[in-house]
Amino acid sequence: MEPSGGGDLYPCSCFSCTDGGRRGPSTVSRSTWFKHNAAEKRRRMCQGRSDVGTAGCEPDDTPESISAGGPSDMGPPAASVSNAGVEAAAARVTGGSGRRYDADATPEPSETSSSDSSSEEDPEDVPLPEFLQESAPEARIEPSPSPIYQPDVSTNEVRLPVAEFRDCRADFALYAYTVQHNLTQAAVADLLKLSTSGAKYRTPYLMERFIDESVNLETRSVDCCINGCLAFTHKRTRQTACDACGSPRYKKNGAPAKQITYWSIVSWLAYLLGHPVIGTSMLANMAAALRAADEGADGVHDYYHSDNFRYLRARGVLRGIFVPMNLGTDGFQFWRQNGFEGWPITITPLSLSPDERAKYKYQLLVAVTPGPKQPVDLESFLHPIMDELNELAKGIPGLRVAGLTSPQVLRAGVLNFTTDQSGGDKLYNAKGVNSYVYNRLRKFPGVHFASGNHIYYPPNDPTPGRGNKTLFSVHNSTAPRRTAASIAADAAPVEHARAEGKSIAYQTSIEQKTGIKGYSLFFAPSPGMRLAYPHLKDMWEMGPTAAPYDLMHLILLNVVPHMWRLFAGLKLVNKNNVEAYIIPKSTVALMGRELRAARPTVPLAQARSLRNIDVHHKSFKAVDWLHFVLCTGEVLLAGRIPGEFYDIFMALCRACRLLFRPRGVSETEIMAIDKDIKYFVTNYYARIYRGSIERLPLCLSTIATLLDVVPLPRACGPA
Amino acid sequence: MERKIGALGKLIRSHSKPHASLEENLKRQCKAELVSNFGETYLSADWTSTTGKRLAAHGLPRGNFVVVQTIGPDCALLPPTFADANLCGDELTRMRAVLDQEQAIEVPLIIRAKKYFRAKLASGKIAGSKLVGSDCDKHRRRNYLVRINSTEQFELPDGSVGQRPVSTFGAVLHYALVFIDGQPMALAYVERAISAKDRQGRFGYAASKYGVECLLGLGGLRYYVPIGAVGEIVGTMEREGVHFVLFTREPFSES
Repeated sequence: MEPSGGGDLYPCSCFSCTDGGRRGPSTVSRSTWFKHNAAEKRRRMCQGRSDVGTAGCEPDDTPESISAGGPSDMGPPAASVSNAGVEAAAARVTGGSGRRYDADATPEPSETSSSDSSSEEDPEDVPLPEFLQESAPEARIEPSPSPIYQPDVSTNEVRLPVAEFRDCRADFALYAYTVQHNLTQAAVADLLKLSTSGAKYRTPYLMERFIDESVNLETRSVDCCINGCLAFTHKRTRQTACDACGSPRYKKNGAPAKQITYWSIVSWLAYLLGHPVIGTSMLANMAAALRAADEGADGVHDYYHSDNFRYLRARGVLRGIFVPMNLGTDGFQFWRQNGFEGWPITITPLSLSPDERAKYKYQLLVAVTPGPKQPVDLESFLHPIMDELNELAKGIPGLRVAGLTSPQVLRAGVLNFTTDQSGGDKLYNAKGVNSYVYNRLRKFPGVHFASGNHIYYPPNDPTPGRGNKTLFSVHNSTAPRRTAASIAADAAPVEHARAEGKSIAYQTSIEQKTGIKGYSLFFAPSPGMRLAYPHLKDMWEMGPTAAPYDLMHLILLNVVPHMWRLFAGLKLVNKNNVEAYIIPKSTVALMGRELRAARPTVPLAQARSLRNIDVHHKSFKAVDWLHFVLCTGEVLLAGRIPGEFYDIFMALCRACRLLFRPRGVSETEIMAIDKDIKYFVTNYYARIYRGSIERLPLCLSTIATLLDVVPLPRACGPA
Repeated sequence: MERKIGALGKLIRSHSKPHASLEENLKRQCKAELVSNFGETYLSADWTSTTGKRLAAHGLPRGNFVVVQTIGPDCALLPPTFADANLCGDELTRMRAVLDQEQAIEVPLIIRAKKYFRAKLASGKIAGSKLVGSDCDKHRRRNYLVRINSTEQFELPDGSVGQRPVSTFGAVLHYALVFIDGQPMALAYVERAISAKDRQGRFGYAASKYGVECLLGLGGLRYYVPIGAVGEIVGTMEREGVHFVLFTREPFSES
């Protein structure tokens, strides 16, 4: 559909403008056009998703009559598209100064870019230096680009033309700032009443309505259990009660008891790619990523150096406009007494530059589980997301991209997952730490510790009568690797037992042996899931390496605090506080004071807060442990613990100095990390655990998991 | 992810319906983001005048002086600054010494210099010359103790003299911009550190204890050093009367 050419008027063929189809389309303004076509446009999110929830439709709704591609008369007016060519972001800054202060290091001429020079008279006829100042790097006011409108792809956008937006800019600015500062409705009302306010809409209600009409945000609602157990998606689409708690799905008046909102991934990506600045940058980054993957690199510096990215490239998935994404989920709790726990699910487009993708606003929130407790079936909340990912894997035609003249096919896929240990277990549908086989990448068994009723993971089985059997070896491990096929094979017996109605005890015993509780949406889909999402085959075949251990959780929030507790005598085995590695309490207190006293002498960029570790170690955040393991631990522990234990700690410290570095690691550095990690794990078992059954509680799963730290970056890029 | 989660808490404005409140506020936040982005992108001048906030400028602040380096990234001198003035006393002597060392061809009798008090080093970090931070003395931070990439001469077994790279330490007092041999030259005025290995502070060498570099304090000789030789800003931790030099990590974000 093309604009009529007369100003900002567009032909609208909606029901009201055509008088129920009895006459031709009328010309209306752009905002009116969007208003009239908003309902049809929003419906696109429901198309082709008969197996997913109700998505805002009534349960017994008849299927939508709009075709998936969208009829030609449904598109919003075409807009002018800038034809700037896409330039690859190839400029790389070489690191390392390599400067020396010696006779050869002649200072180089300085470059100036403006002529704020001040030539003054020298009273003694000495040639005057001319000091040139760099011009101010103010934001240049350049000609504003034209917005790109997406006629065929649903997108999040401001619907108004630029001229109308300009007229109402005071309202928009006020709205943006009230939201940014989280003002209450009363505060906004008072603000709008001020005579100095330039807003046209002078009540919060009017302003909200105006914003709702002007800004399109693609969302969909899916029915869920009122207690937040599960969402009525996939095979539960037609259920009328929660199968976990029995709560009815609908109220007495037929309305859903509770719904969860999903923000559209397609719309966010369409918005980003249509943005004149972000879209162009994303295209350049995509091209650079493909080139980097082809050229190879010394080590792993970003996602495109990973095996998974090369695997997708080899499968031909990365053709055209393909946006690799990271999917993250984690639980959060508020008001522990009242109890609200949600699981936000975020998507981060990896095509953004590393600086941009770490920004809060580009971590796109897709959904938050409804709480008040953690969901019984997290997967049920992921089905609508899978549905969109399936569409994205298939390709969505008609996307207008900044800098390209012709419409493109939008493709996207999840390259890796970010989550903590427990979140990863949920995504894998893994049994968790109570299973005999816990590790995500390798299958090696643990040992049950009867007195603590826990399972621990020593390298050899210390149980009497088992001959100190080797469970895994630190060097040259022969434990079988988990793959997508092996996870599916482990899931099948559990699912069969469940289907056959075997006892829970029997099911649990199978689960504990393999560590897998059943099929999982992202790693071992059931045949039904494979049928529902046929285009996600490539993602499923990546296997468990797509969900690497988050190093922040694994090392900074588990291993490093564990080591501190050991050294500070806070973790005792059989209440025995006579160990060579335990530091006297007075010395621990002194170390805490030294750490606190170092605050003025440590630059702010290195550490924001330096707190007394003796007093505050329980509330230490990851960033505090990061500074401890990288910087201060080396000084605090030197000479205070025996050299053999100090060497163990320093091996971890050296590995972390390379791992927790924003610029990635070279191949040599990966080898160095591998060597240090293996040294740490070997000596931890040899000198701290020492192979006795009573010291089994020291064999935490996280220590064995450290062995996966090196293979994972190769597989999926820096985690 | 953790930052995202951390920001969700303030969006929950209702204890009775936390999820609905969270979703509603998230929607509003998304819309506000779209509106702001639209204004900034397509109506930057109007949006700036309406909001009263100028778009954040990228790059170095106004009044900087970029020092181009042949190897690696450029350095820059940053404001605040003093008006250019003639050097005198110890500073003049030290300036002459460094210009001799740098084999300057024409060294004038009177040397005018412009003093700066902050610099962006080749490592990308901003080094200062006095404590920074809040007004409270307790919370001020030091960012002017620097590691200097230097070289030392040593005698080889065959009697010849070789050179090897070494690190020395010192505290920057100010940065000077001078115009010598027809080109500007940026230098840092450094007070060398003293240590058990170099008690006079003649060279700024650090001693080593437990395998960690350590210093006794500042107060060594003062000298000028080309700004390109200033490597990184270091932090220290005092233990048993000795200041141990901490490992300098690469922060993920400068903010």
